[in-house]
Amino acid sequence: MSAGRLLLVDDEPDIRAIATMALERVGGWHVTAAASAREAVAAVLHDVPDVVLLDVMMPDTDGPATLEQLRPLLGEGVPVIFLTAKGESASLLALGAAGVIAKPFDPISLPREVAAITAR
Amino acid sequence: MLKVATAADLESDRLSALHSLRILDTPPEERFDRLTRIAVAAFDTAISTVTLVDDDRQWHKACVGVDSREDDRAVSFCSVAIEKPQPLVVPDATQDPRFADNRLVTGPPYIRFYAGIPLTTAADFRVGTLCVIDTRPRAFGERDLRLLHDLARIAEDELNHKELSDALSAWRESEQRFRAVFHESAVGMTMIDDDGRIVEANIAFAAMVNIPPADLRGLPISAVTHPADRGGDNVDQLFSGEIDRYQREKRYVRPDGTWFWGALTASILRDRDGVPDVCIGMVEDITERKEVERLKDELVSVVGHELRTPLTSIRGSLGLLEAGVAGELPAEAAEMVTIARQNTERLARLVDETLDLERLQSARVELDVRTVTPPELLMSTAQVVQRIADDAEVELVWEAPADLQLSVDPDRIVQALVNLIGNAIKFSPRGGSVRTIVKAHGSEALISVRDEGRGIPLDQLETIFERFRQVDVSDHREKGGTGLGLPITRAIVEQHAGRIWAESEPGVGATFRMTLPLPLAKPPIAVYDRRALGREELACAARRVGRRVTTFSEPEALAAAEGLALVLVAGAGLEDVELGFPVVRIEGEDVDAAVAEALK
Repeated sequence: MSAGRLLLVDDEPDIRAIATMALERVGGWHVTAAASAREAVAAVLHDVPDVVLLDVMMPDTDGPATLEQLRPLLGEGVPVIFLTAKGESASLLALGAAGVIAKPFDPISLPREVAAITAR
Repeated sequence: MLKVATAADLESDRLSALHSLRILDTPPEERFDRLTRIAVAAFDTAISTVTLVDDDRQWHKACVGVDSREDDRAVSFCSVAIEKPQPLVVPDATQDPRFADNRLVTGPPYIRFYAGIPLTTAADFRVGTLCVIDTRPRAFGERDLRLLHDLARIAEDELNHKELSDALSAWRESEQRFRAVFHESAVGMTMIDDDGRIVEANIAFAAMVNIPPADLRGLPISAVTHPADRGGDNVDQLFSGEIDRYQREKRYVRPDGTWFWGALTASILRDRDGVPDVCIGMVEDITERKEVERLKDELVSVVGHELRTPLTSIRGSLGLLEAGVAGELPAEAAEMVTIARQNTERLARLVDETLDLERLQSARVELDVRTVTPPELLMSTAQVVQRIADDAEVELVWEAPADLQLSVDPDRIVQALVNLIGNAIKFSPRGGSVRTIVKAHGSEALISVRDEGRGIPLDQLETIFERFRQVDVSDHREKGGTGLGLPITRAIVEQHAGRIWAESEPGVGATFRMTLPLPLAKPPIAVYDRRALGREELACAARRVGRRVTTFSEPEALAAAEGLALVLVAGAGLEDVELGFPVVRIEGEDVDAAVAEALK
């Protein structure tokens, strides 16, 4: 059973690997992982996901700037969830994010948190 | 062989007698000043002095009509006067061969008349005179001489007054000691006047700011203060008497534009009458300490961040393995993974708490202060600890007044309470209870957390608040603590200007108590009753609900009082008094309840 297609954008390969495994095996998502804004744009052009999980702190193009590039390609309907190590949820939600998940996240409960936000 | 005393021997004995009086170069004193004032008035002369004749100068302990306190002995009339025990009277100096060409006669102050009585020490040495001087020739009769004589005897008594000369020598010693401390101290020292200008600075301070001491004199202290730190000095408050001292860390600038960090302690020196005289600033160069602090902060945050990132990955991977997400693990492998995951979590917690503690102790944490009630705090705390208590089969008991308002950072206080209650649960036996009680106690809120555990040995009640100081070395393994919970709790409480301590009866349990200052926003309550007992009863009741109280027994005093919220009255006596605030009459048996109701 598939929960849908999820695009994960994070510059840290370890985090990508852990989150991918948790989201696929526990949450049942079909995950595409991107390491940068450029890779994320390429992935969206290839296939528009049902939800995007986007790291805030990235070198070169950070999370909010990446969202700016992705939004026209995604359209308004696709929820984007930020991953952040800082407690700045209000300003991130103002950018049009569907929700914020704190880093470091517990991989076992990550799929549940994503589901809770997308269900809103 | 008989030794014959020469004139030189006598003079040297006379000088040592004079010096042993320890009066030369002391400040003016009223006990001598008044004699010269009387003499000038009584004889209607321009000048009167109490003069001491030193080796090569004459020095005036008291003087009227003379500007300079000393002059050459060569021109001294007094020096001539002390040659004989009898008074020296010179009716017209221009006619006297001893003085006719004296520059004080041919020039200012144009002395014509002089009359001086020698002052002798207890050992009969003539050390000086009391004299009157005028700029016109005059006669000096027998009666005048007797009066001048009497005044001289008073001056003599004062001169030989032991207690006073002791006091003077003590003054001299303390003055010398102060000067030595001031000038020779390795700490930078400044004297600042009420305009904020430097009166005096020592060599150490001059070296710090790289300006010679002489050039510092008269300079405003702001001229050597970094522009960003100007305005932080409270010299005005020191001189107005509002405060006696203050401390701050500030940057001082040098003429070449470089600057250094100084720790300043400024205090006010008062004169004998308690009037602020001069501000003394002590400055220590703490540039090095600041740099070490900065490096430590940087190290802690960099290392903290660098440790956190890989730890997060390790913990995440182990969590997935343990949950069987990557496939079912053999039982033994699963056990090892669980051990690895638990220890990784402990390490991650240690890193987080070390960072937290460093931030709290360096006061880099901004408190997000809000007004909350104790039940709100306890509710948030219970959400975290109730599950832990249930697992440990420990009962949690809460007690808190809802009518108390606290100004605190709720997240931080909840963190502190979770630490304390979490500890208490850990050390409680199955079926035991942990009581958390909040009470108003004077101007503070007192929060107590009491358990029924094994207690804390008395010699460890204080050390448990230090890092990694658990009571039992095996605790960190068995109880799962990091050893940082209590230091963090103490840092949080101290950031709130509160105190925390532990009390214990070993074997019976431990009680942790913390105080938090209550907001002073509420004005004090006035309590009026002519009877002391009634007054006390009302005051106690009002204090019990956390209000400050001012008591009154006179209606007039109450009418003149300002800034009171309302007045509580028991008994009669206020019917005819106009008051600017509401009056609540407390009646009935239960005073506590009535007062609590009135103050809601």
